[in-house]
Amino acid sequence: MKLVIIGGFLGSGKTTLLAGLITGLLSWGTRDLVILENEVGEVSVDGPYLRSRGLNVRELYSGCVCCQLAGDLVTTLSELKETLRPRCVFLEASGVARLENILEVLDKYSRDVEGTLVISLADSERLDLLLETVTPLVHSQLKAADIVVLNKIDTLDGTALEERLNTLRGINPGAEVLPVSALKGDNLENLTERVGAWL
Amino acid sequence: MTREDRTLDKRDTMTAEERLRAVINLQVPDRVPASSLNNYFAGSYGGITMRQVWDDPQAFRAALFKCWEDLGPWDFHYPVNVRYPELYSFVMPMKARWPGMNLPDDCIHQLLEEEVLAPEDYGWVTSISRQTPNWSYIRLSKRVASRIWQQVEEGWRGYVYLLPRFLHHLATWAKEFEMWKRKGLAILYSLIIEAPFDYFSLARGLVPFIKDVRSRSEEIVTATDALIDGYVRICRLVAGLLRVPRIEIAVHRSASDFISPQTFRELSFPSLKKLVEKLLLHNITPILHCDGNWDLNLETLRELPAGSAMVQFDGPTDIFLAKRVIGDRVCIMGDVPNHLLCLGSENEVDEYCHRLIEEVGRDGGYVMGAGCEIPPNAKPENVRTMFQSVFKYGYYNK
Repeated sequence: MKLVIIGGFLGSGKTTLLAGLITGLLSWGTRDLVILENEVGEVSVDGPYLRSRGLNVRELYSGCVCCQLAGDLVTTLSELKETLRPRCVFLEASGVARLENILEVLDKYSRDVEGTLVISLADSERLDLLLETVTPLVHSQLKAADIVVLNKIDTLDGTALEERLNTLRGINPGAEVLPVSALKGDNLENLTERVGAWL
Repeated sequence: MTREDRTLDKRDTMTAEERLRAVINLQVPDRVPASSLNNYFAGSYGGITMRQVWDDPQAFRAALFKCWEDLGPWDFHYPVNVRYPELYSFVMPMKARWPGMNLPDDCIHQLLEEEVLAPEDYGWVTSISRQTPNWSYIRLSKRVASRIWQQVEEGWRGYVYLLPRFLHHLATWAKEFEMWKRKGLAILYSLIIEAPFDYFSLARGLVPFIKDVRSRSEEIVTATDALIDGYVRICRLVAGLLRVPRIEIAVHRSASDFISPQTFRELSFPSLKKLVEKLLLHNITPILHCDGNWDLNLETLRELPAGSAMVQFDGPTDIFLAKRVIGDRVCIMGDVPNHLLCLGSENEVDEYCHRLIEEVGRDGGYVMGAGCEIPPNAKPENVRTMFQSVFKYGYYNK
């Protein structure tokens, strides 16, 4: 069982991206996918729609603002592997989750995950603001990623897009940086291909 | 009741209340004390639903007592479950989903990141704080409750709805406090409030608030400062009524997970420090509940008055670093990580607690506890190991 973690700050478009990504994977015939949502403070992914496409959508309930989901995640993954034997679980992390903490706990306690792919979203419109005001959290979310998705590129012109891509490459030189508009579907196929190949 | 009746172990030479005062004053007590935010775990261990944790005080009391008897003892009663969800808006000014109301009975409540206060409310808060400084906190919290709960009307009718519930809540807590005191425990605090800056962050919603931090910083500083007298008033009122001169100040949104250390220093800390100092003037001890990662803010916390406050950390902060940086200024509480309590072995918990006692507990000023709340799926044997560690390793005169 593989795990894809979708991270990124509140409002960065994780839900829209996940819905688009899953729709793309399903249209290619990828099956046995499960979605885990961590609901803290965000509109949930379109559960009914995805369920109608044959997906299992589960919710992880978090405690207080400190977002202590890691213990629940490990036990839930274990239960999923035993009961549904999915090919891959997609975790939509809370917008305030530090992804490195989730990875650390999984590394220490989970024997059920064969590989983890971390996708972090950066919001084109608010990247400068967030890097200035929520610096440590946003940096940690971006640094933990295998793929950094610069989302909402439909709001940028060419120069601004290049500047932001360079900013992201500077923060996480080891990650692939993909410009995407999850809402309009721009370049989403590229990401879907990338994830599909990894699966 | 004799002094011996009020000690928790035959080796103890202090009562829990004496121990609590000693650690807050940075003196060395007879042993390290233990306490934990234990709400959902107690419910789960006691066999009741998460709904009952909130709306059935009798069932919750029985569950917590079973937990204390089987897995304790611990030193301080750590109350959290306010009697009515409408009053919870005074603690956490956010919309929420509740078990049994809009969540299944056995789910823990979920806080929702939505705008409850508008940008114009900064000016309103400043204005009412000038008109009625002592009542500003209550007026603000009533406005928040009215926007969250349909049954809490705007205007005086809202107070009519809330007041009897508030009094009933206080009576419930007073009864519980007496029960735990008879068992030899101290009561950690009488009221939880959210620090002024963090109150606005929660009530505005994180994303809008971050924009405010950039574009409305002066309004935030003015409004948070203006609120202090109203905070002090409610703290004095409740601390006096319940006869527990300690207040928990939750600082949920000032960690460097949410704002930069510079923003903390310039926009959050001034009102927090002023509140702490004013409470101390009235002989009320502040207990800061610091969720998230505070590593980068520790130097700033050094400016808190020495030997007069407690700071709780929940795991993301390096508590060993905290001991080195602020251990000579404030008492520290925490931070057995939740994942360790849920997934670790008894040996791992024992080793971690031993290290906490040896390093953070060195020379006093420390309270053993979980990082924030004990999660509902913690292993009971791990919770027992955590509480027992203070009797195993925590005596200062071995």
